[in-house]
Amino acid sequence: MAEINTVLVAFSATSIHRNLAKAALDMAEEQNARLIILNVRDKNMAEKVARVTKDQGFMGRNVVEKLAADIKKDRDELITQRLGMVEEEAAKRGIDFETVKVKGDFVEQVIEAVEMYGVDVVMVASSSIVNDIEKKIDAEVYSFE
Amino acid sequence: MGNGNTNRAIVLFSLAILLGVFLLPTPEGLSVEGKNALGIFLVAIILWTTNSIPLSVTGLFVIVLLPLLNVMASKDAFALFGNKAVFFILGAFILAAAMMKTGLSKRLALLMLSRFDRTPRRLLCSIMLTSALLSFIMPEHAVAAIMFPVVGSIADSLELEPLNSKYGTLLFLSMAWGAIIGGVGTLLGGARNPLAIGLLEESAGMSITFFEWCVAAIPIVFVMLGAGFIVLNLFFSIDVQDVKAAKTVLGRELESIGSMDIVEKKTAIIMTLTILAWILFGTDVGLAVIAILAAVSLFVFDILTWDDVESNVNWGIILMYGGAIAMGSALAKTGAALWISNLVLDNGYLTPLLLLIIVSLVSIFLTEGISNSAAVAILLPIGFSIGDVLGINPIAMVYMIAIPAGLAFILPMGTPPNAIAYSSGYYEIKEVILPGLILNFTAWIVFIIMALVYWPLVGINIT
Repeated sequence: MAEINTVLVAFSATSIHRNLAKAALDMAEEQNARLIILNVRDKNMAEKVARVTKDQGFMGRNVVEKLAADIKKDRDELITQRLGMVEEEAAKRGIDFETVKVKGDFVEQVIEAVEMYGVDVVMVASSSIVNDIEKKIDAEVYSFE
Repeated sequence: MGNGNTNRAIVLFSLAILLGVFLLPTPEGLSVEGKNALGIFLVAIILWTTNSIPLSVTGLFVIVLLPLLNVMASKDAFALFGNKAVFFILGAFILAAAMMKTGLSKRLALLMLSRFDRTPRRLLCSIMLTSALLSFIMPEHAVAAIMFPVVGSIADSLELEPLNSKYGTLLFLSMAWGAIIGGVGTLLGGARNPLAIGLLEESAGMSITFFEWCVAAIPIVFVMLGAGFIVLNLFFSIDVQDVKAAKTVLGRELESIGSMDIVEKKTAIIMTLTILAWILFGTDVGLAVIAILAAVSLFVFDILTWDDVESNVNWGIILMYGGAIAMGSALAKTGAALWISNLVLDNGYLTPLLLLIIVSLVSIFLTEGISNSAAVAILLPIGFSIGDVLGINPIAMVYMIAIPAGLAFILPMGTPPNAIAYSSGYYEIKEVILPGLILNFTAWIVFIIMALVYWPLVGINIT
């Protein structure tokens, strides 16, 4: 295996898989590598739900806006808390880490981050996107479902 | 809804179909008006199922196509916007707006939830039951929206970890499935229920009272809640020991909203009197009249302002339901629905029991892909005609289509309660497909058994 200097672990929205986080932390610690904790948020989730509720449920503007705000707040709090746990563990293990929060398409954002940070290994939760990422980058991509 | 180009292509495709039907020679046994009504029906099916333009705009489009293609005089087509069912739905939405604005709906939710015993299973049961019972008095989508932050704070208090906590999944699915199942119980849970009655009145000249609907549907709700609870517990194990923290949070939330103020009390009284009036005087006075009287009283007693109504009621509802009723009426009056039913019956063997089985199955699965109101609007006009030939009671046909049309459990983004629950982030799509599919089949079987065993006991005969 070539030298691993930077490991990127990517989480989507609230999907902080415990196994994935542990695997990424273990690898970064073993290889004495830098860990990039990437959080890609689906910027449309609250809007998507609000639209279904408005278009199919015929709920009024107030109900829909409040619902979207509730969903957004819930997800914001959740992700801050979950990322905080990964960051805390990385700090405890003495791993050099950086947390990056972005919005947009998951695969596109991972590819962009790989190029920006010179990543050697990418770790994601879902195996279905491994091929999509691998096709466009040189780094190795692993999934931990 | 897809992107702009796809949507435009779908609209053009539907218009090409309409043009094709318009230019085709009229089949034997069908009038020219009937043929054109079928063409418009196809347009409506394509647009309602693809959502390429908003559901309400499709309703509006139907209303103008009917006179344009000589299916119905414009005076008659536009008059169907004023159908009683549309005004009942409007009144019910205004009442729901008052319950949400005053906080009465949230108080009811918290009061019901705070009654649970301190065990994880009973908390789930309580969430499911609360969602279902609230859906008896207001739209199920509004119930899910109200319950979402409450269930979210329960999950937070228990420090559940999204994607790693099965109990988190159970909490949000109990909320969504409870609201969905409860939504079929009365005429207030889902606008498809009064829509079905509106179509019944237009097609068969018969009606169903508020009380009759409750008698036919509420026992089904309770059996399905039991089935739903079992399915949930079979697929997701309870991985928490203690839910005392949830009880504390609910108590704190209840404390924070304080005691009922005068506006909330007035709303509760009006809501109670309205439901009683629907049950006791619905036949004589009319459901829509009572609904609108209740809505007016909310203004008289300074509970709502017009701004509140404008911001809490989506006016598209009138267009969608007005269009759906006009479509159903046109299919019935031009003989198009009868022509389709003859086509179906000439090419297949059907008995009333087989029809019950097929129609309810189609309804329950069609609603997974499209809005449940659209499913009712598409299936019911044809169902009445096929049922008429087979000697099926049109009232039973309403229940056979409208009740299963409310029961969509599979797709996370398919209906508002499911979408709201999914947005919690506690589970992934793949985790709910199988339980949802099993509950869909279970609900279908439960429905058939109840239709065959329970309905005759309360005087609802299929034939």
